[in-house]
Amino acid sequence: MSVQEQQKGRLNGYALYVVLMVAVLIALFSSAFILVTFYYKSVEDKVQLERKLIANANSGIEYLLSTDDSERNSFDQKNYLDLFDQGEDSVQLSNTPWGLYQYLSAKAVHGKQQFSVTHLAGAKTYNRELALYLSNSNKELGVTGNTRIKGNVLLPEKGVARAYVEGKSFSGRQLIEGDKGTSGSVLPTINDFQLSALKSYFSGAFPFDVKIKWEDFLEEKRNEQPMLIPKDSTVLLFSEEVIHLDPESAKKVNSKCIIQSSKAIYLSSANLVSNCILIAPYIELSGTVKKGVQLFAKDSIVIQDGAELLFPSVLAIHSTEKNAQIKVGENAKVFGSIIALQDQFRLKNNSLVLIKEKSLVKGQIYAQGYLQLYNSKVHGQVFANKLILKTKSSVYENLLMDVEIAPQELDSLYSGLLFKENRGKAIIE
Amino acid sequence: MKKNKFILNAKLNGVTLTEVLVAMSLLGIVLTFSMLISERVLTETSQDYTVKSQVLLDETLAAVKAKAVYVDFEEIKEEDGLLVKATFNQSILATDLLELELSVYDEKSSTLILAQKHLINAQERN
Repeated sequence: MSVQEQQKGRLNGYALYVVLMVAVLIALFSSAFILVTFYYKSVEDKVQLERKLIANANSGIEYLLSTDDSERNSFDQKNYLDLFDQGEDSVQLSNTPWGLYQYLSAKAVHGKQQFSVTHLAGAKTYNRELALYLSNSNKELGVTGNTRIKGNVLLPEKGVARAYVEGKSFSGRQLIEGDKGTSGSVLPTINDFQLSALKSYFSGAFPFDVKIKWEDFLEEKRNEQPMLIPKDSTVLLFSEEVIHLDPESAKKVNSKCIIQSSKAIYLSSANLVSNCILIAPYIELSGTVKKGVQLFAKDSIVIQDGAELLFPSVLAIHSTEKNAQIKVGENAKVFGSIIALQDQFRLKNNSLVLIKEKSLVKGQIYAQGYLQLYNSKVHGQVFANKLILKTKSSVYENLLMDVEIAPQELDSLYSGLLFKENRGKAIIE
Repeated sequence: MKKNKFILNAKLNGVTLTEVLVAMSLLGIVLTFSMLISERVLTETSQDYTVKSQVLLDETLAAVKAKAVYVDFEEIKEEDGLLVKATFNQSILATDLLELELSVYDEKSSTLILAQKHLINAQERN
């Protein structure tokens, strides 16, 4: 403050002004830093909560994997579960059959935040070293040609013998490259929960959320009208007529769904979205198909030569009175399960699973009727009540010719049929 | 007025009150900044620690599931200065279900950084 100003009697508030400005600046900077810190803290808390929700949802899935479905009696039941009995970790669980498999869902909830996870799961492989289970009858297993059974077997009491058929004799070193045991008179029983789910696709009692007529669906798609279908709902597309899933129509099915026809379904395109369920008395797949689909037919399933069904595929028939049939054509590949159900083995009109030459099944074959394997490979397990081999000149019972069965070739993550004797489920995707 | 003028211009050992106030303000700024920056650094360090701990928890959980050995253990991660503890308890929900509590501590101060609980399907042990 100058002497002149003092002399004029004016106050010099410079210092107060500076202090005030400094105080304001400090307040501004402090607030900004506190806000930034608070923001980071809240972000961190949110991330931690999200991680907790993810962990809880995964824990919910572990719970579903660890318990038998029959224990929970939850075919289509939804539960809230307190994971750690502390009232802080709630998850909502659901377990929905999807063909041979199940969709396991867990939704973890905390206040308004939630996290959901869904997995497709199937049964863990039963007795992984088992190659062949042939029901006990009064007829031994005959092997001929270049047959190789690279695993344990459960066979009729009469055991196994070399056979000379159609000018061929057994050319291998060992009849069975594994342990031998005696089988029971019937095949291992499928778990009740899985069996009832499978049978529901033949009886029409399977669960779905929305039912749309196939013709209406195509019409609306053609007109590019958006269909109001709730998210995550199971859609049933049905028709009283034959359904042709050609490249054009298959392309329109862009979310997983159940397609049902009262007559027949012809799938001739790889455009169909994976993991759909097809139900019809007769289902035929042409050689251009390369998909994971589940097929349920009362009469017949025909896989044309060269077709390739990816995992997780299912071919299932249920024979009541007619002799239903599954035919896998030459050079075809099936990655999944082939299942022929019938309530009891009959004197005639038994179901038939026919695996033709040079075809490969990577998975399980479960035939409660007849199974014909000829010059083909099964990288997995075979369960059959009776083996049969029809040649031009004769019909042979319990005979394998030029067949390779190798359970060790099956992926450790493979999952399919759930038997009463085995436990546990595995996540597929 | 004259009093104020007197106070502001008063000299103590040759220093005016104005100069003292300005110096104190500058000191205040410096202290505030250093405090907030330290707090920020500490927060970031803590976040860094939390991220490291979370990664460690995820890795430990994956290892437990892969090995399917369900016995309590402690593991020191010297490179991070962290200690991981895993404790298993039987879940009340199902016989084949275990509760796994994973905790990460600062190795030196034994301060808990992160803890998480998981359920493990332990059918494999049978």
